[in-house]
Amino acid sequence: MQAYLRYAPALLRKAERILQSRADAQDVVQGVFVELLQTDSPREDFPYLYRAVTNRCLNMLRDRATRARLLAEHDALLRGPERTSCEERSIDLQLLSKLAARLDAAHAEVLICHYFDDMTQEEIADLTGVSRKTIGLRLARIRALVSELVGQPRGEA
Amino acid sequence: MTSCIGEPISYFRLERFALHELPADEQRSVAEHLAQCPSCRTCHERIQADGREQDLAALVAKLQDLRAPQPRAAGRARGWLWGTVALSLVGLLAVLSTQPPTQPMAPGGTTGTKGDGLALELTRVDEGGQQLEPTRFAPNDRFRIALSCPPALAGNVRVLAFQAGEKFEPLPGQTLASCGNRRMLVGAFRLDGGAPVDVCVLLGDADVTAVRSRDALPEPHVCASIEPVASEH
Repeated sequence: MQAYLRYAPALLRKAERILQSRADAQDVVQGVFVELLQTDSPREDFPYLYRAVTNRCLNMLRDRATRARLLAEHDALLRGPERTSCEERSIDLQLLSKLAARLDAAHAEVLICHYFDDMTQEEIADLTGVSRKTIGLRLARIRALVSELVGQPRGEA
Repeated sequence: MTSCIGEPISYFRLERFALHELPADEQRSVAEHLAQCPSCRTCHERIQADGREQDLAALVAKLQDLRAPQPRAAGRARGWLWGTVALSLVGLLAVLSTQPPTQPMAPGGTTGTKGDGLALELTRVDEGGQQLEPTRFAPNDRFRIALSCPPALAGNVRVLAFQAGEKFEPLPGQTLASCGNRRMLVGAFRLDGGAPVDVCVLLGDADVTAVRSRDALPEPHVCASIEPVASEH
């Protein structure tokens, strides 16, 4: 309960930034806490909850029916200011949904961390517990896929 | 895209900065960056101006009404207690986020009533607020349930929906710490499909494995029906 009071606003903002839907962001955060409280020894630290929200948002985007609805109804203003781009290209909801469908969970998490949370490679490495080199490789793969999806030549990684 | 003077302060760090969860040296360096960088400062100001913290503070007072639930099994008592507290809190947040906290909940919605004091109100909610008196649903419309019940019926409740011969549970089972007038059940759900839906709330722990229609539900329960938009034509 204390974790909810403390972290729910930040987690809602994060989910809204990804899904660009207030209602779906509420569903995501609600789901995270319901699941959390059904476990015997729940983790309640902010980094863990932050990652849990990422994964739930990605699951929503991978669901075909949910994805179609989000694309039809999303509020782009909830994305917030963008300070990180992929080769100066904005990763909008449409592109994100395509990427989420093509990337595995590990790559998709890096995608969200870097392009939606504006995290550096070092921060992502700390959060996910893998090396910075691995994060760099995953970002390179993401950039290559973005180039492929938007039909442009790959830029420098 | 807005330009940062250097490396953007991530939303993750900005949120932790706002929560005062960063180590002291990092807290200082973020503050220094924000003082110089309009781009990151804008993001930080959006966090500060969000206002949901005030909504949550208001929830604490409402939690005083929560009492220990009636667990399904002794070994699960602690889990259900915290689950109930958290579920209620989450539900209250959802309600508050769709209407100002000081404004009483608007009456209305598709209603099912029974003579024993049970009533179920189905209310459509969307990003613009609550839709009163919904008699029909479009695909993916989102609904919440307010349940009125006499005090003796407090305890475990399940939400069951019946559509075209199929039964499903649109919301997780939950525990009402107390019964009364218009208790909002936790969570929202979406309806889809081209057939009418009977949405029912069943109180107690009766086995409904074999139940396939609202008429076969054991007592006590209350149901409301809603039609798909397509059936208007």
